[in-house]
Amino acid sequence: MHELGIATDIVGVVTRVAEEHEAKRVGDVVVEIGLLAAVDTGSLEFCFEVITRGTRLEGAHLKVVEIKPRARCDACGEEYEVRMDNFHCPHCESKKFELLIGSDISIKEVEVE
Amino acid sequence: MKRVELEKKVISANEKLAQANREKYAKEGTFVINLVSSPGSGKTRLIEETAKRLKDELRILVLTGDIMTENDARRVARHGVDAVQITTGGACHLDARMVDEKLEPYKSRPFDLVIVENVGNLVCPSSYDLGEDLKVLLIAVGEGDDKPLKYPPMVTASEVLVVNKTDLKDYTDSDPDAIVENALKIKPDLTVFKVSSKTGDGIEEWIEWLKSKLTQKRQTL
Repeated sequence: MHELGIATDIVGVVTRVAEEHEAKRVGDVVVEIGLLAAVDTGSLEFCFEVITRGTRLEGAHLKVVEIKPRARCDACGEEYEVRMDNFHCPHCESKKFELLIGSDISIKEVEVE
Repeated sequence: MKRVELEKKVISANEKLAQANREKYAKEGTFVINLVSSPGSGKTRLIEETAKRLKDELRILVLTGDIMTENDARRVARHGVDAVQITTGGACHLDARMVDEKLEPYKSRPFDLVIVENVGNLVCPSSYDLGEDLKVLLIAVGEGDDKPLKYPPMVTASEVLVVNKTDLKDYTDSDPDAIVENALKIKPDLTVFKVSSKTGDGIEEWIEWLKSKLTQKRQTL
């Protein structure tokens, strides 16, 4: 239920980019979302579309790239994709690891014209 | 169309405010926890038991978050600590702005311990930094031993797991150790406490840990 707040943040950043580039139109907005960020993609797209109506971002398209969490094992050093029901290293079963990606929401690219 | 590449983390407005609060409390050596759980796991009761035991020793401020009612702040204030209610009206989590607004009247007063009780919800509060030192995740016996596996983002966002209501163990099919085991599958370095706010079992360890974290924080001053 916090997707509206996230959409508002994204719109704020993209609006600044559009202003800096004196854009008349904004195309794709590429956003990476980690599966651990607890965001519902469908709700986020819906919120983005609704709050950009009638603004300079109207018609912009939110492209969500889901990022699967990855970790590095502290014991064997292997990097691996995390299984969502057990984050332990699948190679050596060590319980010590460091999460590398999968928690963040980042705006990667904005198309302007 | 021209492509503009950027690497911008979202929820930045929230994080900026949270960071400002964190810096303020770092300067004063105040230890701040953000208590998260499902509704009904016993956050308020744990805070009450904590307040009872520490109120003469520490200056404590409690912020309690709910959609409606001032009930929790009233419950906590009975124990002689400062307590402020945040009613979100509908929002399913607290954000740094809500916390900052409520903290405003207290900013001139120093505190040792600030406890923020989040809205009962195992999803959204994981994404919102409130400027705390760490999140404490509370899961009650009887809630479902696999809760940590169902809500992994909350487990990864937390540093501490408190399994509460251990007194219910014999009345349910729930096993406190299974809750812990499942949580450690997601985050192996969690600090774990098993407590019963009702009987007081395990509460002393929790209190000692809080005091030791405060001492640690003071040493960085």
